Amino acid sequence: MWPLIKNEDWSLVSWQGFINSWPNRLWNFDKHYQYIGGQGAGGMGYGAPAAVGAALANRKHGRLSVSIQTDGDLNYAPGVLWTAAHHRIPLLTVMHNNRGYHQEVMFVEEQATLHNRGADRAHIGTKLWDPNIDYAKMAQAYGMHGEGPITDPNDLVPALKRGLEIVKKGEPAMIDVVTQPR
Amino acid sequence: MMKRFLLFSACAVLASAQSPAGDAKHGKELFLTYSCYSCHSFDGHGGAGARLVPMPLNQAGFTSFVRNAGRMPSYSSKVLSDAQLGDIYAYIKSLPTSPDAKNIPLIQELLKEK
Repeated sequence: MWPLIKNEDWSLVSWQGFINSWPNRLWNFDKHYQYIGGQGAGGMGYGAPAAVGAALANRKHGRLSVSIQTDGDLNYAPGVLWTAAHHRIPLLTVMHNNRGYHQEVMFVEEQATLHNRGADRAHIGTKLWDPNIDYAKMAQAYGMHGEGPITDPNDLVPALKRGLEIVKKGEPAMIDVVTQPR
Repeated sequence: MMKRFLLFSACAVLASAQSPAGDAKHGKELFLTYSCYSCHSFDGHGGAGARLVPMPLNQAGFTSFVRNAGRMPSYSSKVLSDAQLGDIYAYIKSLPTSPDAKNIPLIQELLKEK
């Protein structure tokens, strides 16, 4: 995504804690509004509403708001997608779709191995597959552009470009990208 | 300390020579069932957890590490037997390595900018 936004007045409106801080490692942050930070306690469900709120604040400045949205987080308050569509809030949401709450798996494994039982059942309550959630359709259902799931890296850049085009016209868009767990 | 290290290394080499080859197919099932992928990724190339490919340890060293891990949970023989760890090890050894970063233009471009 970086090569597509680096020459824009961009703002990352999502926390990086659940995505190993990859943007922080690869992007150049040199303005205060380029990163909104996090919720302060690693809680779930904050990301999507915070991103829409920050994108709303960025709108009057003409900034390009992008969010790398984790899938588990979005499922807490998906109605905020409708808010973004209804109020024409320009925001590119890139779904970091790892199909689970993988941050939690480690804690479950830790306790299971400590007690020598259940280490093969850490998937219970932490996985979001069977069935896979179709986030492109979710986005469309709430009234915004939605694409995906993208599983071939060759499809990624064209989809991001289409999404950015829509966002630059003042609308929200979501690109669902299937990723490695963490 | 050095003596202990040498003893451990010698044991690891001997154990490695004696370890039966694991079943990579079963190892894959275990890799998924025990959520190894959750931190090490489906391709073993790392993420929140360490990069497993290419695997720097021999089988005995791998087993020893998993039994007495530091940051990640330790898996006792009650949770995963030596044979099961051998299967996981065989699966990890079967995973392809990632391309060299020098051969990925986008990464080179990003590094130059940094």
